[in-house]
Amino acid sequence: MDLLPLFEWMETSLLGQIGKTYGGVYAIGQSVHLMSLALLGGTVLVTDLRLLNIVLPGVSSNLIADEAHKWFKVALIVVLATGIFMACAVAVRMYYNPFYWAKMASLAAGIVFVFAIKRPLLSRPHDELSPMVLKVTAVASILLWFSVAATGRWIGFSG
Amino acid sequence: MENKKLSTREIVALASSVAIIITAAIYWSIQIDGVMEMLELAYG
Repeated sequence: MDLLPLFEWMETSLLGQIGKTYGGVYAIGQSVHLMSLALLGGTVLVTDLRLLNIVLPGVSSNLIADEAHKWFKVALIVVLATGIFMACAVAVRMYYNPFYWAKMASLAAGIVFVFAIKRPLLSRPHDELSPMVLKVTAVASILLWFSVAATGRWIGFSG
Repeated sequence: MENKKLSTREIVALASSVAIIITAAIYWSIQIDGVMEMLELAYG
């Protein structure tokens, strides 16, 4: 399926026109995008590093995972909303950028991983779960979100 | 605890996590290889 017509439409849409015409609005969107990415990364890191027993060892990992997940959802919604706005302004350029597609693939994998695998696992009492499984899950989660961030930054340095 | 059988949820999490770790390792080593090749071409 060729998605080019969709990307061409995105660039001519109202969001695309606003992003292209008003540099200040684009800059605000990008800043909010980066700040929400930082929040998202923070929730991922605090949960996963706690599962690896690296940070906050005195605090219950169940409590950290539950509280962090609430903010993860907020950050994800803002990241997606601002990301769509930013992509609209440069949609056709993004379409031809391989790192954009790598980012989208790792983002999709990250979202599926969180909601289909990690959250159902961590919603159970952690002391009933295998520590080895918790640690491997934490490493995979860090790697996935690292890939989202790194491929996202790579977009800016390619094409 | 150590000898407890893993639940289905744990097995699914373990299998997908291992798949993610392997995929990420392969992807990033290919990317790093590409960058090193380009640096060699540019600077010898």
